[in-house]
Amino acid sequence: MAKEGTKPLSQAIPQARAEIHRPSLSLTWQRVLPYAFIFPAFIFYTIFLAIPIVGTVVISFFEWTGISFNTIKWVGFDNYVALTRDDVFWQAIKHNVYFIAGGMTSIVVVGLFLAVLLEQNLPGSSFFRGIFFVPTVMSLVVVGLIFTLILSPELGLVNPLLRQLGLGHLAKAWLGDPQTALPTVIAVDVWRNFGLGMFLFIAGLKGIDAEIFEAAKIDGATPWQSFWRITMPLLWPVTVLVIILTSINTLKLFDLIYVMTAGGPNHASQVLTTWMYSQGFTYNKMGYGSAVAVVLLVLTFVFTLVQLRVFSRDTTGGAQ
Amino acid sequence: MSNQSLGMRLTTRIVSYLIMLVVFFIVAYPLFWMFMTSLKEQWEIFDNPFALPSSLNFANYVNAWTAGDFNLFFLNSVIITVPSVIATVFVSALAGYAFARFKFKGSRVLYIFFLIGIMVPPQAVIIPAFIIVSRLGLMNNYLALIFTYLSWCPIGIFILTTFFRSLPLEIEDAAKVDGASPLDIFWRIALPLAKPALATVAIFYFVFVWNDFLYPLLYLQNDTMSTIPMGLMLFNGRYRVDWGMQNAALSIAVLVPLVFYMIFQDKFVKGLTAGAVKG
Repeated sequence: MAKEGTKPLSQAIPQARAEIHRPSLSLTWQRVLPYAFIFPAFIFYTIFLAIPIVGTVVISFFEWTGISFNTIKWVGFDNYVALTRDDVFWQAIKHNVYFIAGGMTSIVVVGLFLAVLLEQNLPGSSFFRGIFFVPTVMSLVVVGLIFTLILSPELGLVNPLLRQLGLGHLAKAWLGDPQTALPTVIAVDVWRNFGLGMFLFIAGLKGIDAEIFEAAKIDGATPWQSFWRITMPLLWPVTVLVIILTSINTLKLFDLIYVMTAGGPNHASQVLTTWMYSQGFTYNKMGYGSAVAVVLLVLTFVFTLVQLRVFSRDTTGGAQ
Repeated sequence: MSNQSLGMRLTTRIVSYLIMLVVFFIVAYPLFWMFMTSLKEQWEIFDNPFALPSSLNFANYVNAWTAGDFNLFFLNSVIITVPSVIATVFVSALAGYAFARFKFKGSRVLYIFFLIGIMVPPQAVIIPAFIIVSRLGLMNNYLALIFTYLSWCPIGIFILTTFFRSLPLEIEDAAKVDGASPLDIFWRIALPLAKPALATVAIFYFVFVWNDFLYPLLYLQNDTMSTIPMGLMLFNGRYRVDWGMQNAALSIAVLVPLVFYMIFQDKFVKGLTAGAVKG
């Protein structure tokens, strides 16, 4: 299949044209064509993503610095056994759970709330809606660096503001304090990503037939009642979607933490991705790093399967 | 309508606007502050972080652009992003069209094979990917990144397969009767019809590739090859105390996605939500 795909397209067109006159030739061509169409995607995807997926699992059973194949050593499940005894690994898992609990919950609540607010279609709401999405198109590195400056212990914005408000005792090195480092990064992540949740909810709301609300109003339902009895049940599939998506996104998160805290201070904001990176590329423990990556792969895989399930059942997502 | 409900509606309105204004402030003020600080001289920043700059002073931008090598980072980002996005969209369209329109052996298996790629966070496979790239001799080569971004094509394939399936068959059938080859039909009929979907996919990839940090961090170890996100990290290290210049660099970095977003706002929202839902 691979060889057939390399046939130059310049040949392909005249050949395909000849099809009408020479049906026998066109038959082989027609058989080959689909594979030729898929071939470029196939080759890049296979080499740079599919093989690495398998490779991650394979390497996790070895001890290796990644430099020369001569030094690679089979260790079976040793890396996984070591993981269970690795305090930082468990801390990282715990932080990922915090991230999902804090970040995801905030994005769902804020996103849903703003979506309902904006869908009243008050004058100016499309302006606000547009602005609220701006952080989502920015790079996480830019966002991380802006907030590193804003949260700087001495200058910045947050601490001077607290001092001016007479709350100087609350001023601190937000990213340098193990107590506040993780919550601060989570808050910045919410700042960056609530817009996406908001727009998914807006799409969901647009999918609800306005007549239902009219009917409820005539029947004497208060806005509060119609929100809980009509909007929420109908939005439930979208809500599940946002919950899962945000959970996956927080599991994948690397840039923001690398930029703002590098997992510190003293592992206080270490998550699976940053721990994998430092094991693999700082300590050159490719096998151990891959074992961390396998845990990450399994977790995202589970979330994504649930997502695909939900999405295939649901048509109110409206995001296509 | 009774007076009471009118009052209720008015209060709801006022509260709604208040909340929207608060969120607006939380979103916009950090960006506004960044821009204001980028126009200040060093002493002004230390003097009062809230004050507006005393004059419109673009010296920090000039310094960041030339002395800070930001022109180089910008060029590198363009060199990597433009071919990556065009190639990924094209390759996804080809495969998506094949899955939507051709019947062939193994199409289901192949489709599922690509679907797996959607479920995998690229971050989780960096170790073997790094080894493959270095074995292929692609370290410090822009191609390493372009190929990597091409490997993220499953999301595009998924979106475009769905789109091509939704196109009515009649036009393509008519062309077939007229003797057009499958390639002609793809190139002259299906692809032009797919323009909106292609744009959605292109914007999704543009945002991801332009903003990507992890892969340039791994594959481009030569500072002069840095893309904007990496360049910003270098900048942060080199000019740690020069806040004016750092903020100028950050403002430049924000500018490109922001301008594109302002022009193609709806497309951005569509692209990013579709990409998120399917990826």
